[in-house]
Amino acid sequence: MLNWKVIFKILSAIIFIVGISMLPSWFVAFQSDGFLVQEALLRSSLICLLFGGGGYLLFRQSDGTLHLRDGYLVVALSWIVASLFGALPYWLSSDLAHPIDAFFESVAGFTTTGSTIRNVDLMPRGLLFWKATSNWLGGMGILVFAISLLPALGINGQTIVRAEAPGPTFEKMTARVSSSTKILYGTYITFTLLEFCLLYFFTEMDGFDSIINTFGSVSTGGLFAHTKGLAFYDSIYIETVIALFCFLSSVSFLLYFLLLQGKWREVLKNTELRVFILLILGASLLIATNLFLTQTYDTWISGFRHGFFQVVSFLSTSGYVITDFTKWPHMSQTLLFLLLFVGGCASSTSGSMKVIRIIVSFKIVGRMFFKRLHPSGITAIKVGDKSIPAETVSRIASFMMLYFMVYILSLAILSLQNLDMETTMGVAAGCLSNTGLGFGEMGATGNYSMFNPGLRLYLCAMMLMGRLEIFTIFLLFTPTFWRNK
Amino acid sequence: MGFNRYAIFQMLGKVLILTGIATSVPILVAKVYGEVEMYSAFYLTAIPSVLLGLLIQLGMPPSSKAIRIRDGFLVVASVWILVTLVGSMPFLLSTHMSFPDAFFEMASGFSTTGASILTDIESLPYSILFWRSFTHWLGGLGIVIFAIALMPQLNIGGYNILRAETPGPTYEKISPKFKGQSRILFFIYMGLTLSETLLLRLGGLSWFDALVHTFGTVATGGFSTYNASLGYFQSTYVSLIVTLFMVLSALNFTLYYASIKRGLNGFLKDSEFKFYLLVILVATLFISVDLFRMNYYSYGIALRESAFQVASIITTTGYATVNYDLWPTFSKALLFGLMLVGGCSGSTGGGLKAIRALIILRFIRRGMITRLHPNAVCSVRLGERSLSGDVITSVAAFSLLYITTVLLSGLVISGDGHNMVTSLTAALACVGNIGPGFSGVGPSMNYSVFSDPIKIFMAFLMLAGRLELFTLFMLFTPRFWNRDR
Repeated sequence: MLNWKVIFKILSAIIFIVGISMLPSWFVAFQSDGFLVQEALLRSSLICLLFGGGGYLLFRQSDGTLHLRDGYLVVALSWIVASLFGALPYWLSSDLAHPIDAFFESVAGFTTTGSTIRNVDLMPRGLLFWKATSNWLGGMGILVFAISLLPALGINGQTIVRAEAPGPTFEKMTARVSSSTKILYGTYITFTLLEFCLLYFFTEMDGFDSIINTFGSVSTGGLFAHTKGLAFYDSIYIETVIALFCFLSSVSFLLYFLLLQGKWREVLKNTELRVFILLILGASLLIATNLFLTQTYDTWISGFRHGFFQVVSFLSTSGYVITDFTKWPHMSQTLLFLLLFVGGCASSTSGSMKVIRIIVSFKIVGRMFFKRLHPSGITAIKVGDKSIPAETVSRIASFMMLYFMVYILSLAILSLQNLDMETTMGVAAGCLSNTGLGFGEMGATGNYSMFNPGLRLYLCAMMLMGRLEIFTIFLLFTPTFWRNK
Repeated sequence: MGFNRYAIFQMLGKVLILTGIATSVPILVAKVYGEVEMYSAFYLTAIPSVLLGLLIQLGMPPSSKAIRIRDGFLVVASVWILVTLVGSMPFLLSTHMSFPDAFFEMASGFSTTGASILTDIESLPYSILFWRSFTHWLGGLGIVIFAIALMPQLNIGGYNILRAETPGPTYEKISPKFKGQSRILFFIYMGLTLSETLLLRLGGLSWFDALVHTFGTVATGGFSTYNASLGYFQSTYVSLIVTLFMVLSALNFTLYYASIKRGLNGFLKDSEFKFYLLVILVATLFISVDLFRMNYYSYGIALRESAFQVASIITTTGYATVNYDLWPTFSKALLFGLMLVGGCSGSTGGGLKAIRALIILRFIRRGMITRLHPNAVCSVRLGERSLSGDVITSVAAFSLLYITTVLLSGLVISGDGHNMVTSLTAALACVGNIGPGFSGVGPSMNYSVFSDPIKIFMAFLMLAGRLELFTLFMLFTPRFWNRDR
């Protein structure tokens, strides 16, 4: 039996948090936007507080254990519910008249995709601020907040952690989930403050832009405050800061915990981190050389600057743009497309397949070469010094397969819009990996307005699937999930 | 542990003789069409090959060392490369083709890919056209199958080669002796060839056209003698016959044998067959509706065209009656998906193979169940039997290698500066032995646009794809050449 009462209690808490988080946006709107936007934000906030608070009071007595199934359901529902309530400001302000559009905008926020249905420069500042806030909330995972609340609710959060991060995590952080959660969001908040200071105090960026860019990069959402993206500022310093924090946020947060414990040796020896850095450098060098040889930029350095930033932006799945890369030579574009399938490290705010899964996949293939040569030989798959249990390997393999399958399926569904193949392939990969960028027609704008309402809804589903590592959403559609034993 | 040089050279010698004999067949065609100037090209290939082959056979001191796995890999890989080299001789001797072009064309022929660098096929002499398609037929059944039939005479166990050679994970033994088995496969192949040739002749094609297009069909190759491929004939009858035989040729040949003995039940019980048929039917239905919906054709014609194209792509033949690259994106996306699937195991078809796709789907389902019930013991079933962990691991490893190879090769090919869709589908079309892809390598285009190094690279991709990747890639691993391991 599913423990519906506790699930409702958690969802209510999340709605309440969403309501509170809308208030800062209301202040912003108060200063710079018209009456309609102020009204909308205030009303949405009150609705959320009312529903969340009321629901919480109603179910506050309920507790009991959450099983694995409840965990999956909570995870999936909280993202959907948060996105639904988070869509209210866009809708009520009539900024996006169609409810699906408002939902899309909200999902793009909470899944840290950062894509949009509309032109960013035209978006009222209050709403843009709300979108950045939802990026930030989504980046950490509303659930982490929920988990830190859970012990207070008298619920063991362990099951949820398992559902939220089904990806491979080889290091156990601490025995107690709640304390590791505190460290996680402690790190997250530190990064946020640090980046804000670096942007606000050392550049000419105003407070609003600094916050938008900070929220966009630490959550790897990639929201920008101007239609031209970061090209608007044209400053190497700003690019470097943003790239740095995109990178830091897409490194496993577990490593920061190790750093705090003084185990920096282990951090340096971490295979996933090493491969991630090598990937960034390798891809940047290749693109820089390609750009230089095709004379896209005058100097090699300039090519490297643009290549490096775009590579970090794609690998961290943030989706920042400093130049229109759809004008780049095709090899660079193809490489960026492939990077959409990689993503950052596990246990970070980045999306897509994650570097560790790619490493394990290569090891699976490598082991097969060995097995073909020595059919009776037995080898375990090792990452670093640790060998990975067969069950984990099998899970990783099935995840990879599912990811590709969902990609091909999504490609077919999105192609109903009859855009060209390159655009469709790019959109499908960009959406599923929560990067939000594409190639061809859609390109560097991250603007999805070319899709019809039905497909926009499917794009929302893709973003949610991508953010929740696909299985979490997929499981809800299997009959076994709903069968009571 | 060194290589069994005797066995390897014996085999290469034998293959040289056989290829030499095969190269003399087009001389008959040249005689019929009075192409006197072509004699020398074929004689100059055939005679030295046979002589060299005999020399090797007689010159090698006999040895009774057993043939081992390592030798098997080396034999299979080098046989295909050798044959491709010999096969390109007539092109080099008679036309102005450069070496990379000829090597590409022959790799495409022997690997039954059907990709061509020729811009004007119709201008070539009949004997050359015949040779080009004949290589499909030779490659289709696998020159090594012929070699296996000869191997028992050498008192060498052929089992190791079959391990490296057999396409697909399940290859049920027909008869305990490979000599018998390959003979049966050969007769089935001959049966298909003869019946299609007759049926096409009845459709009004000349004997030459009927034979050449039969070669292309039963080998799932795709070389035609006309620039417009099968679109040249403008005949529903021809289109239907070819559709039927493409589907038949990509069926598991052991099923034919079983049906001779035990009736059609074997087909109906075979999971792969059912899956393959289902995919064809569903894809045909969807594409025909899409073509009709978008006002491309009347429904009848839409059904005919979609059935033909679906069969051509899934069987990895690559014939075209129309330029499907102009079709709506949804149809193209479905064809793209079919390119990944490929024909059945134990057939002349390429690609991932239907059985692997099926196992992957089951594997994903198991992944879901184990995520919900971590302690449940759940096996992947196919038909009535459950598959062992080894089979699943090997399927997963192969699929991962397949996808990785396609993506990374796409990146390499994009170095030539063609767009993303061209580069990626060119890689897929080569590795999957399909032939045409989309955009720059669509059915109305050809591979002449690529640079020489990329052509050679693609030729290797085709051979690697034909040999199920591991066999050829194995030669590039250091472990393979390390005597001590």
